This record gives sequence, C-alpha cells and structure tokens, in this order.
Amino acid sequence: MQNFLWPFRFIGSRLVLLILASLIIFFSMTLLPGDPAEVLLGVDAQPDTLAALHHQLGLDQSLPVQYWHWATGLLHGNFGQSYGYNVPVWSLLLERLQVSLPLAGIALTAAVTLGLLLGVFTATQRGTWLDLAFMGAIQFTKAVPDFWLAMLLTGFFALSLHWFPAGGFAGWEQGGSAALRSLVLPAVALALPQAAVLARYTRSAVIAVLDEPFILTARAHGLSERQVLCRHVLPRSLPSVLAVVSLQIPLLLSGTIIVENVFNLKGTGALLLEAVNQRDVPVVQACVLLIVAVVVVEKGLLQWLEMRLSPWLASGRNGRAA
Amino acid sequence: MNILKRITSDTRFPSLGLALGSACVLGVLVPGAVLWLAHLHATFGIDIHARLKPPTFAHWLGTDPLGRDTLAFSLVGAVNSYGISYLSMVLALGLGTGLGVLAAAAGQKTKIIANGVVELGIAFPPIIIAALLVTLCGAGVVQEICALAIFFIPGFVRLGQQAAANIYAQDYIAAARLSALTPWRILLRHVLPNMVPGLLVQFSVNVALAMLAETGLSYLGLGAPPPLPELGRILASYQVHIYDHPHLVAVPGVVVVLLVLGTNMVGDGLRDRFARQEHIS
Amino acid sequence: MFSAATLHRPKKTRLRIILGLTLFCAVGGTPSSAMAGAQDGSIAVGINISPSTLDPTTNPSEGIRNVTYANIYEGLTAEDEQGAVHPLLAQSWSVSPDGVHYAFALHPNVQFHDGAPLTCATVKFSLDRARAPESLNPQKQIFENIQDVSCPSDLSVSVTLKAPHASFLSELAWADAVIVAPQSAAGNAQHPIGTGPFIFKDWKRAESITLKKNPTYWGTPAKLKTVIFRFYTDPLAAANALLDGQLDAYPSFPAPEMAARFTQNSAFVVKQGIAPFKAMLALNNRRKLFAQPLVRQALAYALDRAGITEAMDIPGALVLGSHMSPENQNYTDLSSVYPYNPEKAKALLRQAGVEPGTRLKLVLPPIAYAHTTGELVAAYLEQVGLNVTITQLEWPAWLAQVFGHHDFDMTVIAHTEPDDIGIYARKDYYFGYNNPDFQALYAAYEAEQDPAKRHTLSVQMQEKLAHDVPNVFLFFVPRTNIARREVKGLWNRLPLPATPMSSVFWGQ
Repeated sequence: MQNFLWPFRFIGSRLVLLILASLIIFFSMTLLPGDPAEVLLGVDAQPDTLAALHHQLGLDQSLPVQYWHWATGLLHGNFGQSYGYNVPVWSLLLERLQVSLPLAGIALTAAVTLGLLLGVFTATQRGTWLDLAFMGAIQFTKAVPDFWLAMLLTGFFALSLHWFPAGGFAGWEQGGSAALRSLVLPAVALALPQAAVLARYTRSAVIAVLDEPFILTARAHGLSERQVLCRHVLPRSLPSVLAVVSLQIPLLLSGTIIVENVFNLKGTGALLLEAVNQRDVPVVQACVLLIVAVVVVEKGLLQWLEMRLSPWLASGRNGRAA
Repeated sequence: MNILKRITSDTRFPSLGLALGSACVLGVLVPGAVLWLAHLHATFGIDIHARLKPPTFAHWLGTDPLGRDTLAFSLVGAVNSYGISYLSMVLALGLGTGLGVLAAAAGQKTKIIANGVVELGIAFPPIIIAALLVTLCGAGVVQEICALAIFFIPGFVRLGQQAAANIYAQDYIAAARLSALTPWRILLRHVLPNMVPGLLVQFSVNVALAMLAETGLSYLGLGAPPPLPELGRILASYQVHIYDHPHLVAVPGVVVVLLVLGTNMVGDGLRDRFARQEHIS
Repeated sequence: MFSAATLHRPKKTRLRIILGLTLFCAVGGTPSSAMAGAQDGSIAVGINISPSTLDPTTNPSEGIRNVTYANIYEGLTAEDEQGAVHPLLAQSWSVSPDGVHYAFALHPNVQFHDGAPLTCATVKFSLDRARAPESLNPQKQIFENIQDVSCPSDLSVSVTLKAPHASFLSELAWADAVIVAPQSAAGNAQHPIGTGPFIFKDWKRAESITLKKNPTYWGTPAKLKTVIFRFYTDPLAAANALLDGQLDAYPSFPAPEMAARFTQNSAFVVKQGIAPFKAMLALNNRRKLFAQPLVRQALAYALDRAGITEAMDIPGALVLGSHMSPENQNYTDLSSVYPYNPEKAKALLRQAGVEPGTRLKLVLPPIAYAHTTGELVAAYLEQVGLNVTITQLEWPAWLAQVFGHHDFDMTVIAHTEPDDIGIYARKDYYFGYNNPDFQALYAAYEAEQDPAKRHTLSVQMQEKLAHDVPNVFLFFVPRTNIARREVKGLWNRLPLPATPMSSVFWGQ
C-alpha cells in the first residue's frame, strides 16, 4: 500500500521544497546590495533614467507583488524575462543546456564507468601491486583541484599535442563530432576527481560484501569469480555507490562553474554566477529551480532503482520504519 | 607479498597511511605555521623591485609577481586555507550532526525538516551560496567559513541521522529505555559517544573536500580579501605567469595536493584503525 | 592531427613533459586550422566583456561598443585613431559663432541594413529618443542640452543647444549617439540594424557574435566577409584560444603579463595600443580626513607610483599625475608633482594631526589590476602608519556602495572614458570633489571654441588636479594588441571603446 502512495507523497513534499527554494532565492536576491537597473545603466546613469528602467522591469512594485507576478507567470509556463538580456529566461536556459547537459552527461557517464570499473577491479585485486598502484593514483587524483587539473590538461592535450581544442564550444550546428571534441577535456577534468571518489567508495563497498560469509559459501558451491561478482557482490554493493552518485549529479550541473571558466564554456553554471553578479533575479530563480528539479527527479529515479536492485533492502527499510 | 597485502588491506595495517598522511600535512603546516606567526603583523614582504626573481639561497623557489617569497607565501596561504576549511567543518559537524541526531531521536516532523534541509542544501551549489554571502556581507574569513559550512551541513545531517538511527535500533538502547533513563541521558551517555568514530572519519574526509572547495572559492575571488594569502587566490594571481614562470603555478598547486592527499590518508587511516578496534572489541 | 612541429619535437622536451611541472614550455607549432580564415575572408576576434544587449543607446556596456560601434552602427561624426573629429553620416557641418546652432548636411544614399533610407527625420528621431524623459541613454546629459532638432530639408539637420558646449561634435561620435531608425530602434537590443559596413548575423549569448559584410554599404566597403567576436572571462582561456588558433586577433588582451609568450612567437605580432585609461586611488573627499589637502598630499607622497606601475608588468605603462592619459591631445606629463617620499608623507600626516594607526577602508571592484594595486596601496600606506582594511566587492555591490551611497574611504578604479575631466566639476560625483576654481575652469573650457585656448584651459585643469590631488592618480597602461602576423589594419590607438573592423584584412 505504502509503495503505491509513495510517488504522490514524494511529489507533494518536493513541490513544497521547490516553493521554499524559490522563496529563499527570491528574497535573498532582493536583500543583496546593488540594483539591477544600476548594473545595467552604469556609473553615469541619472536618477530619472534609473526610475524609467525600474518601471520597465517592474522593480517599482512591492516585493510580494513581484514574487506573485513571477509565481503566477510560472504556473502559465512563463519563467519571466531576463533583466540583463531582455529575452525570455527559458530561451537563455535552453541555449546553456545545450552545453551543460552533454557535458554533465559525458562527465557523469565517464565518472561512473571509470569509478565502478576501477573500484571493482582494485577490490578484486586487493593486496597486489596493481591495487597499490591504482589506489595511489586514485588518492592523488582525489587531491587535485579540478581547475588546476583543467589548466594542466589544456596545456598538454590542447596546446602541445593539439588533440583537442583549448576551450570554447564548437556548437552543435557545426556537426556532432566537433562539438563533442570540444567537450572532451572539460569532461575529463570534471570526471577524473569524481571517478576517483567513486572508485574509492566502490572498492570499500565491494570489499565489505566480499568479506561476508555467504560469499565463501557461494564460492564453495563452485560459482566462478565472475558469477560471484555479478550475482552476489554487485547487487549488494551498488546501492551505497548509487547514493554517492546521486550526490554528484547536482554538482555536475551547477558546480562546474570553475571548470567552465577555464575552458570558456558557457553553461548553466556560468549563467547562474553571471546572473547573481548582475542581480538578474528571474534567471537565478530559473537556474536554481532547474537544479532542484534535477535533484528531485534524480532522487526519485534512484530510489526506484534501489528498490529494483535490492528489494530486500527496501522491504527491510519499510519494516524498520513500521 | 605479505607486507604488500598488509599495506593495501583496509583493516590490517593502517598506521603506514596515517604516518604518511600526517607527514604530508605536517610537512606543509608546521613550516607554514612558523612563517604565519612570523608574518602576523607585517605585510607579507612585498618588494616590487625584486619581483619574479629566480631561486636564490634566500628565496628557495624565487619570488612572485609582487616580490614575495613564492614558497613562504604559498605555505602561509596553506595554513590559512587549511584553518578556514577546518573551522568550517567544525561548524558543519556541530550543526549538521546536531540536526541529524535530533531528527533520529525525535519524531517524524523533525525528520521531514531535516530531509528538507538536506535537499535544499544540495540544490544550492557552494559557489552560489558563497557568492550570495559575499555580496550580502562582503568578502571575509567568517563569510567563507559559513559558505563552506552551509554546503557541508546536509552531508553531516544525513550521516548523523543514519548513525544515530542505527544506534537507537540497538538492544542496549531499548534496555536503557526500560531502565527509565531520560531521553537526554540516553542521547548523551549512549548515542553520542558511539557516533564519535564514524563522525571523526567523516570529518577528516570532509576537511579534505572542504580544502578543495575553499581553493575553488578563493580562486574565483569569493574567499577572504587580501592581504590574507589563500591558496586559491594565489593560484589565480599566478596563473597568468604559467608560460613564463610555470613553477609559480606548480608551487601552490602541489601544496594543495599535498595537504588534501595527506588529510585523505589520515582519514582513511583513522577509519581503518576504528574498524580494527571494533573488530577486536 | 599532429602538426609537423609536434612530431619533430626533441626528446628532451618529452622528458620535461613527463616531469610535469614544465608542461607549458613544450607549447609549440601552429595548428593547421589557424590560417583557414585567410582563405575565406573571415576573422575571429577576442573581446573581454560579453554584451547583454546590442543597443549602445540604452546600455553603457563596453562589450556592446566593442562589437557594434563603427561596425554595425554609425554616428553623425566619427573620431579617427588620433581622436580628431571627422564627418561620417554628416558629410559637413557649420557652427554658429555663439556655439549654439549646428547645421549638418547628411550624406546622400545612406541605407540602413533593412533598406530604410537615412534622412533628417531619422536623425531627429534618434536625438529626440535619446533626450526623451523615458530615455535610457547612458550619456543622457549630452542630449538634454539640446533645445530643438528641426529638418530644413531631407538631407539637412539643424540642432539648437541650450548652452554652448564645444565638445558636442566629438560627443556625437560616441556610441551613445549613433543614428538608429524609427522602425528598427526597438529591436536593436536583440537584432541590431544600423548603417555600418557590417550586418548582424548571429548571436550566441555570452559566447560569440557573427557579423557579415554589408554588400550595399554607402562608403568604402569592408575587406573581410565575416567577423566573429568571441568573449572570454578568463585570461588564461583567452591566451589559450589565441595559441590554439581559435582566435586571430585580440585587440585588448586581458593578461598583458602573458604578452611575452606571444612576442617570442613569430606567428603573432604584439603591439602597445593606446586607449583612455586613468587608474587612480579614488578618495572620498566628503570624509573629513580627505577634505584636508594635506592628507591627500601625504597619500600621494606615500605611494611609490613608479613601483605600482612596474608591478602592472606591461611595457609602456606610465605614471599619471592627473586625470588625463596620453591618447588625449591635451595630455601633459605631471607625474613628478608628488614624488615617492614616505618621510614627507609621515610629516604631512603629523602636521594634519592624523593619529598613527588610523583605519581606512579600501573598497575594491572585481578586476585584476584593482586587486594588485589595492594590495600594494595597503602595503605602502602601512609604512606611513595608516591601517588599511581591504574589502573586495563584485560590480553591483561596488556600484551601489561607492557610486550610490558614497560609503567608502578609498577605492581603486580606472576611468576609461575619453576626455572625462569634467567629472571633477560634478560635485555630486562619487568622490565628492567640490572646488569652485576647478568648476570655473571647466565652464570656461566648455564655452571656448578656439582649439588653442581650449588646450591651454585643459592643461590648467590638469595642473589644478595634479596639485590638489582629489584622487591619487596612479598609472596608465596601454592596451595589449595581439594578432596573427598576417592580420593587418587593426586600430592600435582607440580614442573610444570600439573594434573598427572595416579596414582589417589578411595580408602577408
């Protein structure tokens, strides 16, 4: 019964969360010193010019009214108009997502694949020189600041070897391969540290399961190492690894600001920071809501996946809760 | 092969990692702290006419674009960055774990609030929190500490809640309840002490993560204002010399790597040590 | 994929790459794609500030001017590289002896990019729009001095000013005064339409803007077919894009410290360009402390301005002594009025009764030169016994605090507007300098028509400021203009923020 109600409860509580997030961001943005009109009109602006722009942007209304306008607009699918660019916010977001989504997608896929493979591999090789070497490399990668890594990668693979462009985004209309090539280095700079973190978690999780008595039993029953891994170890160690992945996803959408900066990519992260600095409230609102929405969707998916992967865990949890 | 197994196994030989990690951290922080004290009341040796000089006996790694000793400046920056990360984690540990334990101890409502905090926290990326705070209150050490802490609080809430819930599910808590101990006593006498090892491990892992985040924030100019040196800002101000003086970018970078690597190794070593203790007891 | 240079790199370099730390010494060779632009007549140009709209008559952003001015939009007059005023859309003009009536004759056969003709009605529309009460023009004061605009015929315009203003003709050359058409003006922010040699083609916000040649241009047509402006926020990314061949030119390179990397590379030419740049330690003259000339002089003596200028690491940087930089025809060198003398500074502070250890708040905007200079200023002032607290702000907060609320003691800022000495006559301006002598000098300067007399008055104003130090004037730095060797015709001196591209071509 609980399982059927779960999606509704989930969605309801997340809606509250979305509203809360938008309230927090709206009022903290308006608390900030600095006036969007002043930013747009610059140092020599005269009071009547400022007043004219205030009226045009709707900033002469009271805060609750401004919020109400924004919220009702949102219900009609209207994210509002950017103060700075003076275009609909959704068109700005769409432009930036063309960079951010593939970048986050590639980085996430690379991080998860590499992290899982390395983690499982080092766990099965526990105690060998290979394990030691990989663990050393993993520890080192975990300790490298991503922007520093980005600088090193550009210097080597772009400026010395000319394998990849040094920065910028080629754009999809130039053909997929050029666009993808320009995302390789930033994706690597983003993915490597995350992969290292994941590999470390995976290794521990797999080792923890490998040390369980029932694995001995399985081996005693004559299952091959591969069968043991695929049937018994991975299903049990994956959920905790997935939990770590779920924490990394929002970071990949928004926490990429620094790497985007080094590679001169204009993604959602860059847009968000730019919008905060320009007091472009509608854009900040939309970006934060987008990230919250991604977090929500991704958490829902993960919970569902977790239940599919390890039904006994889910039932165990329900049992404990009851 | 046997020694190797002991080095790499998670539980049997943690002291080596601990020792190596501590060596990395202390190797940076001890000389850094000495220099930090020495420069407490002086503007850090700015000498424009001795800018970008090659290594000499007086300046082992040469001087930077404002004529300061590159190595000494980076080491002092390391002390500041580490201190800020450390303090922010103390704050996050206190607030986050507090909320998490409360959520575990109290009823469903607190739990919902705690979950809300966790998810809201995840939605606001650290750079945006820092940008908002810095704009609201100006750049400063306290603001930077708060921004980092806010970002790490959700993790501690989650961890505190899980750990406390696990302990509350143990039989001896039920026994304590039966013997009519007040909830506060149970919390203080039984729950909190048993959470310490896990929290300590998480704390040291997070200090390393916070170091990286701090470096990023100060690289973007969202850290403490000059003249206080911080590794990220040092890197940002040196990066334009990457072609003519590459070592200027290497020195603070290597210092970051040493500190984070060392802290991580200490964390892993601690975890293994606790795991072994649990095993023995 | 490999260029020849990469294949033939000596082994020793490989070793150094493996060592890791000297990665960047290995950069060499020219990517094969670099010269592609020469064949199809296109060029990629790097710009520092990404515009948020493309209408210079409603937004002061330098990014807008760098892309659109002189390329898409044109004004009645124009300034050449030396800053002298020339006819453009107005092919000639006459000014009445009292300096109030201007009669312009428009160039015939000028068309906007959408085919609309340029007539007096268009000019009247543009000027009236700029001076209307609801106008958002960033330099509204230029147009508010206009009494009336009338059209004696289709190709002649008559403008009457409220008060004589001798800078009017050069101000008409500013991007704020470009001529726009009634039917397209409202859409200019997104899709600019002007009379210029290039037509707006495509805009990827924050990333790039593409212009193409105007085939029916009324004047000398552009030599290039396509111009792509790309925007960079990170200096290292900008340098990498040039080295990587994604850019052919960068007229205002953001990291002059890296220029050496390009001077050594025969594929590039590095030039010191000249554009208005007046960096200063602005003082809040409203504060009791800085209202005393003695204290301001003490600060001027306390700063080693030669040292600060050297720390900018830009060849051709100059110490400034007043609010005028060398691109201006009236510039006089006044840098030696207050030479570095910390002892004298201490003595003057004592004389003014300033306690040692007095705290001063230095507020910095988010620009690299301001951060470096701020750190140095704090160090120098500490040496004469003043304590400085640095606050770094981002732009909106800095604007609000410094320009809006005048809540600061000192700030570091470079003024990049041309010929803007008049800000010292505005007593409500952010640094709050209120000096009747200077105001009288400026009024006389603006009322004067004779160039020689104007020059004398301008020098007098500069000297007045140099001695009175309302702000401590610090330095001028040239623009670092980097381009591929084959790119010719880029403007090196820029009296106004702009990147005129119509004269640019690929040579040998």
